[in-house]
Amino acid sequence: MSASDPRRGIRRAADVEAEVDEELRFHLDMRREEYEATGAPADEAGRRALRKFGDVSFIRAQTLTIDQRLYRRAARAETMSALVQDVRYALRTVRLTPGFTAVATLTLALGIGVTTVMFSVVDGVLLRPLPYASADRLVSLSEIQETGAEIPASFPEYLLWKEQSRSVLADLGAWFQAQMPLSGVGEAEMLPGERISVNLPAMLGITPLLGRTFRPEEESESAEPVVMISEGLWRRRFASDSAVIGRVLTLAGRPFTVIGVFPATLRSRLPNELASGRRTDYWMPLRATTRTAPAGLHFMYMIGQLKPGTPIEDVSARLNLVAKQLSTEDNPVHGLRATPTATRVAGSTRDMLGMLVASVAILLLIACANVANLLLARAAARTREFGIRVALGASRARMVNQLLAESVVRALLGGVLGVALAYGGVWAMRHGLKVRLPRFETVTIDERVLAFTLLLSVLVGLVFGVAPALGAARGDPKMALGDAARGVFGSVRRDRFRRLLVAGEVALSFVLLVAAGLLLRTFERVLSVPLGFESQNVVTAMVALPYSRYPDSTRQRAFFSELLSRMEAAPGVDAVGMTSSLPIEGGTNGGVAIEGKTYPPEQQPMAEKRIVSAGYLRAMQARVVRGRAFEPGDVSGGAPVVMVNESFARKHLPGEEAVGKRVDFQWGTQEMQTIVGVVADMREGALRDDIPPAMYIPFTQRSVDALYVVVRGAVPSPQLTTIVRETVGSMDPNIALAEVRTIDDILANGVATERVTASLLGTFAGLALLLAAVGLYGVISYSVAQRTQELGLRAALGARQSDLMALVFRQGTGVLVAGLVVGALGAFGLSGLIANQLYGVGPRDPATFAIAGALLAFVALAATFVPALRATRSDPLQALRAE
Amino acid sequence: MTASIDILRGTLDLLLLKALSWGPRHGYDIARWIEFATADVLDVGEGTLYPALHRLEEKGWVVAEWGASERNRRAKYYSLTMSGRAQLKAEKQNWTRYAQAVFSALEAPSLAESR
Repeated sequence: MSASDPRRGIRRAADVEAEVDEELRFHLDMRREEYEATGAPADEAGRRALRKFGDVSFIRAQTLTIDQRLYRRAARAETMSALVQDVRYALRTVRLTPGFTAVATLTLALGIGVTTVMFSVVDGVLLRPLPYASADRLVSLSEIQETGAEIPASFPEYLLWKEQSRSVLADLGAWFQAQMPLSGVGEAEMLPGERISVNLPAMLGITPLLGRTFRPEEESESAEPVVMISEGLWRRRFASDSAVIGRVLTLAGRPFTVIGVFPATLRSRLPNELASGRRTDYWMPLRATTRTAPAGLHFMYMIGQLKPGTPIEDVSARLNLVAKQLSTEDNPVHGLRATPTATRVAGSTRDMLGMLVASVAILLLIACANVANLLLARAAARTREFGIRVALGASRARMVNQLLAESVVRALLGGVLGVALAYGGVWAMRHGLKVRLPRFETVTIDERVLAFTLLLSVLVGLVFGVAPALGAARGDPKMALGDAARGVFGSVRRDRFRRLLVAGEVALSFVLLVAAGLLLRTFERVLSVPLGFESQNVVTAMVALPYSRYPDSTRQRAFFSELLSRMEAAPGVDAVGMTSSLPIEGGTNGGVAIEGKTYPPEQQPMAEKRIVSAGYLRAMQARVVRGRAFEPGDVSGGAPVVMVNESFARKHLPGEEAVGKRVDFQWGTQEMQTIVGVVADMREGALRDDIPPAMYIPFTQRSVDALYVVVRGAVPSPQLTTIVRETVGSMDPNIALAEVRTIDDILANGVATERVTASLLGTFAGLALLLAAVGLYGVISYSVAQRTQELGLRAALGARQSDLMALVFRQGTGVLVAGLVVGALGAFGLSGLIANQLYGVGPRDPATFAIAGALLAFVALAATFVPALRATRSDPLQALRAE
Repeated sequence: MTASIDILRGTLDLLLLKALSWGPRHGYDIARWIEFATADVLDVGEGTLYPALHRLEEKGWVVAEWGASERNRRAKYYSLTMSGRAQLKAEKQNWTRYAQAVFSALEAPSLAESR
């Protein structure tokens, strides 16, 4: 028996066939020779051998099939055992290098953890389908104004489109937000609610937890008034008692029969509430009473379900065509725009999340570069090990595989810790940063996110592992044996690559720092915009009067006037006012007629309209710049008056004296009002927006059933709130306060987006800076360690400590400057992408660039300082001893 | 001729295992032994032993290894594994029992006669 065939270990698929042929040929040859030995001529012997053998090609095919099966099984087993071996080896390496493993794992965990958090947010907010039935076919419809702005529909328009949209939509529903005080069950409470078209629950797939949903006939005015309540309200106010069905509730002083309870699921929340986070406690059918709503009032949200196979572009096109056909000179019909409801819910978060995702990707890249760097440094130390393995016959592919396995194992370790960090990250975003994004409450780290993280970890392992693995596979057997093992030779290229990596990290950090700086400045600019009012020590609450008890303007005004005078007398209250809309939050606006001026329809002057009490401007400490404030004489029956803001005067009455001019906020449908004063601009819209023209109208000359009370006082805000609640309660126990807040809360809410983006990006940039510093420190201190002999020799030859330090610093600054230059160019090119997130600062703001560069340079030099200091302690003797 | 092959189909594995029971052999040796031991029952179609041998290898009863033949040519040698040896023992018992049963059946009188 000979030794096993040398080719066996590396048998290839082609060998299988050759071996079968060789075996069969051997048999036939032996037979032939046997017959020849008995005296048969050669050709005769061959024929006989073949006949004896049988059908050669059939037997060959059969044998080959079996062998190929055998070969594949063996190849599979070999791969598996190689993989098991690689992983086992990787685990051992990881275990035997605890310090390195700790640093690498932490770095990777940071990168992977932050990426996991961002993925879970993007997944929950943007990627997952909406919670409704056939969510992909839902479209939100809004009306397009002449100016191009999209606004909700009016009630008559909803009725029109319900009929006219049938060619493209399977169904059209609508709703509007409302609120009603619930009384007669314990303390009165203002409930947020909704009036919905009765087809909406079926269209969205919302089914009741208890009872039933609405019937079509319940939209008619003559039907018995019915209400559905939320599971939350049912548990909170009715102790989860199923007897609530059929019970009559007093809402706004009128009776409504409870017919069902909607579950507290995501699906029970309409699209705009998914977006805003508002909760609903009751639902009522759209009623005929609201059909009397004026055509100019736009408050209805419309949602449609596409007919199967209808592209969304067709909807807008078809509906606009219909609008054009229905339009008449006197009665223009506005076109509609259909947007996928999912897009509508996501709103403007797409841009912000895109920016955050890009930042996280940069951070992850930096983390990868750092770990790759550490691995390269270690590779130099492992030159001998690699050389020995190559000498023992390890193939290049085998070496690469093994080192990649090690990297992937390290990345998975980082991934595990990263997931733990991600849980913390999501918690911090929710409870620390109080992030408010559409559907943010659904953001969790579930199996979908975990699967992403697993994939990401493997990918990360391959990314940071590939360069070190390829480098090591170049291992030279001679290295293992000769003196060259000291690793001076061949490490030059590796060191250059490592410095390139760190320069890249510096550049990427610079980009992140600039972005973070720009957003921080944006935040600061938004915070410091002139408000036009004093926000501190002011509380506010909505007081809404139920129609049943306050059906006319006389009774409404009487209640509000009485409330104001009682509040003014209350201890601790400095000033009290009322307004129909609060600053920053925005309110109703509309066209204005100005005496003596005519405009083409699309240039009709617009203004925000605020119905206020005379004390409102005083309570807000707004300044009257010209004319006078409202006076007690500005009442119903007196001369109609208004005040305007500076923006109004500037925009609509340029170069004229506003005071004394006559205008009409009803677009010329009633008696003109005289402008008696001009108010310094208050932020009547979002903080970042230009201040819109606004008019202030005394409530004493209007009919209004709901106003915000605004109370300024020296006492703490909870106390002020109590005073308001008790005063209102003492006047009418059926009235409940709603939206109780301080003006500072509103202000904080107004800068919430800027605060969150600046904090998140600031955190990412800080982490990037830290990682880049660690990377730089690693590279420089490694090179100092490698140059021990050289530095010692220099010291022996008389180099001073400052010379040695300069030598090391020069190396560090080389990397730093290269990184800064590339980073600055990159940031310069990229920062335009976030221009739409910025306010009050240009995307190429020189100060931000300068500060980011200085900060980066300072941290980088600090990271270089420690190894440089070590270099100065170089011992001349060391140089000799080492040889 | 066809009859002889049919008989072998069930018992070829057993013959192959037996052929290897004295030590490693290549296919030609095995063929010769069968020819000798069974009075040439294979006759033509002795090639069928190759798929059979390879199937035994797949089952793990034999292992194959390349070696040099008596005339210094490369030849594939087969040898029994532990499980192959066990299989041979089991098959042999089965076959003997079966053959004895068939044999005694052929010798047995009719049921009516024996009563």
